[in-house]
Amino acid sequence: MSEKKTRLMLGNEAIAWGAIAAGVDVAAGYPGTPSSEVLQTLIELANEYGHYVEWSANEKVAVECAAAAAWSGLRSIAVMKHLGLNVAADALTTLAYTGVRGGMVILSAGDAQCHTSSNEQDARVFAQFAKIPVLDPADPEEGFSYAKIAFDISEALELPIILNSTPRLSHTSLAIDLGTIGEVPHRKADFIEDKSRWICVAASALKRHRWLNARLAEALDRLSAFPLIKRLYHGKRLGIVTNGVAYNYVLEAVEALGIRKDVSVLKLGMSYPFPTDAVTSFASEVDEILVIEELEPFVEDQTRVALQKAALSIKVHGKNEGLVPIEGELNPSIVSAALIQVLGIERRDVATPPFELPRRPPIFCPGCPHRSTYYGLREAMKQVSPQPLIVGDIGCYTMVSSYPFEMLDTLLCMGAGAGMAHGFSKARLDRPILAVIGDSTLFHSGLPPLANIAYNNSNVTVLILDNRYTAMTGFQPNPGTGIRATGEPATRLSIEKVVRSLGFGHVNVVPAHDSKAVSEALVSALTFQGPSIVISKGPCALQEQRLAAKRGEERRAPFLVDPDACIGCRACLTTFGCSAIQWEMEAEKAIIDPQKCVGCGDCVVVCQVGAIKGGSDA
Amino acid sequence: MRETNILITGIGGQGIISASRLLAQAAQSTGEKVIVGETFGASQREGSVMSNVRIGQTVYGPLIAPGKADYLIAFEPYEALRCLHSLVPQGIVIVNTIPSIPFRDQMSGVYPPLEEVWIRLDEKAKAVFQLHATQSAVEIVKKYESRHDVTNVIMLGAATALDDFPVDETLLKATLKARFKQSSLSMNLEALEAGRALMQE
Repeated sequence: MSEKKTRLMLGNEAIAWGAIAAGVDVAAGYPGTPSSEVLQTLIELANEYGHYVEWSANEKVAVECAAAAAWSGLRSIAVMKHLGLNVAADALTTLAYTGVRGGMVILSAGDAQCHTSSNEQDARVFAQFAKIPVLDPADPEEGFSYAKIAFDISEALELPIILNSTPRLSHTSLAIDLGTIGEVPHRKADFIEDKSRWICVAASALKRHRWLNARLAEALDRLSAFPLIKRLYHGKRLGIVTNGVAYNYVLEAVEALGIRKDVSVLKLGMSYPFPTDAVTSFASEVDEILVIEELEPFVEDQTRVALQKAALSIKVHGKNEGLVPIEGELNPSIVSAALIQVLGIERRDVATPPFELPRRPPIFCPGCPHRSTYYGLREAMKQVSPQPLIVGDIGCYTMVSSYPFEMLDTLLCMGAGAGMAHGFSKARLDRPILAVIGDSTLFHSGLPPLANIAYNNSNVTVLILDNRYTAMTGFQPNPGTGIRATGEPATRLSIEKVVRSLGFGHVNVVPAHDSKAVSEALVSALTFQGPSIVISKGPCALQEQRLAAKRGEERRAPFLVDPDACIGCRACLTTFGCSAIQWEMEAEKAIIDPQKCVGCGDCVVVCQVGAIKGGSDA
Repeated sequence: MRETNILITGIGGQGIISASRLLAQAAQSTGEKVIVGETFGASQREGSVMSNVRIGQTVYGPLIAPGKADYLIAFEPYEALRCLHSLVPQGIVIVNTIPSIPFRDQMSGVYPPLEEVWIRLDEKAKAVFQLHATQSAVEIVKKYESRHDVTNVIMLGAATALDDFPVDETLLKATLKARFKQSSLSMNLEALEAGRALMQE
């Protein structure tokens, strides 16, 4: 037993501690904002608590790894962002049929507002579609307590459980009392043969579907002992039904408007299966209902169904009448506005609108190998006609869409770059097609489309930007990194060998910081008829600096602009865009900020008059 | 203690998230309820970063509603302007004076002149403290031959010089002592003192 004192922690850390307190045996995940710190925390605690933890190649593999553990009676967690549910969907939707023996939790961190995602799909809707129960904690404290009981709930139902987080839970810090984390003894894996259950196909699958439906129908009775529903206040005029982080905004709005006496609040900790009885009994005590929830009108629609079944005729306000938006995240102001309108309160304060300033687009860090690679790409494009279509993928290298490159034409989802490039080529667009993809995305979902390109002989060039880490989400290792999540060395997969074995013959490997070599390789690939690959290799600069600092190495000396040589043409700013290079308004010359410059020297080739100096010339 | 809302804002890489965590840690060590809502992710690559630090028994959600921030601590003047609507009328602003405008926007002139930022801040706030925090940080980091930036501790140190600020000098010092190893502690303590000194100017 170890006493942990109360301390401030991120929602994601709290969720990880919940899993520890439940005695999790196996944890697997794929990084994705805002979920990544959950597995990161489990990695940091692995030595102390003795669970197995890995960054898997993708979310589907993570779910399969966790499912096998749960089939063997262990407790397991699979960690991902909401979009990872889609990657894992094939496994998840049948996993509900087989169910699990040990408790299994799938942490899905959503992204209402698309802060760092390509969509804001609602995990509750996914859960209903996959027939997997979903818990919706409201704050880091519930992140801890729900994660802890989710394993018991999973075992009570013999079903996997989705734990549904959002950026405002995952990235919110609160003081958490971890209480006493007991030494939960790890279980011994034990696979009990049952062909009618673990081989899910045809007749057995149909039987398991019947089992699943029966289990879901009795789920609420089985879970009656778990504290998943909260009731607050006793007002009759308006019953507010709420779920997830929206609950906090409801509490604040009720306090700010001083309407405690007018309202009652029902907070649902589990939205699927829907707690029909709790909602109908709550509804029968109030005049009208207002549903406050983020994203889809999930609780709202289920509430309508519940009221109709109970033959209760009570007005339900919410998204369907446009009071609460479906798109974007909620905040106290939106919730206040809905309450003001439903209750007919006179508006007290009018907020001033924000001053409109252009957004700051994210850009490549100083020393980033991608900047040099893309500079080489731009140089190559000058020599290729017609201009290639550039089909993107997900990672730091997506920022080729930002100034000063702005060269990206499409972006859909993880792994879609190569898959769609193939499609554009087969659609016979009359121009070269270039897919860009990073190392982590390649191992995640890029290999099947590459096999497809090679086998179907598409006239596509794939530029693989190999920076050795899953950098965007915090430098997690992937099969090309050479270390595992917990730090032990592993054999790096050679991307060159992989693509050659898939059938690519035209393959060039170039150093990312040599933009001239990148450019030459790309011209050769883009003018080649048939599948071709350019691998631009250079490790993530931020991670390299972190490792160098750890080793106690000195910073590399910054480069500088010779003011006498600079002709003020701005090429370094408008074609290269390193944040260490700035414009001196008065002198009308470029200048390098020695604090920001990391001494990579990639910018030297950009200056046509040789004004950028450093390294061996300094 | 009454509810206090502090919005810390700036650009990715300036240490805003660590500043908000230090501040929250300090406030929490007195037994106050503290919630910190962070907006980061892709924004760490020179994008706008905001961190909401909320202190008091009646705070629930992680976001400070518009017009409810008692203090705006901005590491960059245009980010102060971007978040000014969050400030309570007659709130307090501490702002680093060094602007950073993305190069493309420098050329297009869509950012108003810096003078306009100061005028707008003055119109809305009870007090605006303009600090040369960046210059001060550069000097300290140079002295200690460090790779780290201390602008964030300078800004926090400055805030502790305000009478009603929920975290005082002693509390912040204790938090720094718990957070940093001896090797970087003295540099951070000097940054704290430098922040307080800048408030006297």
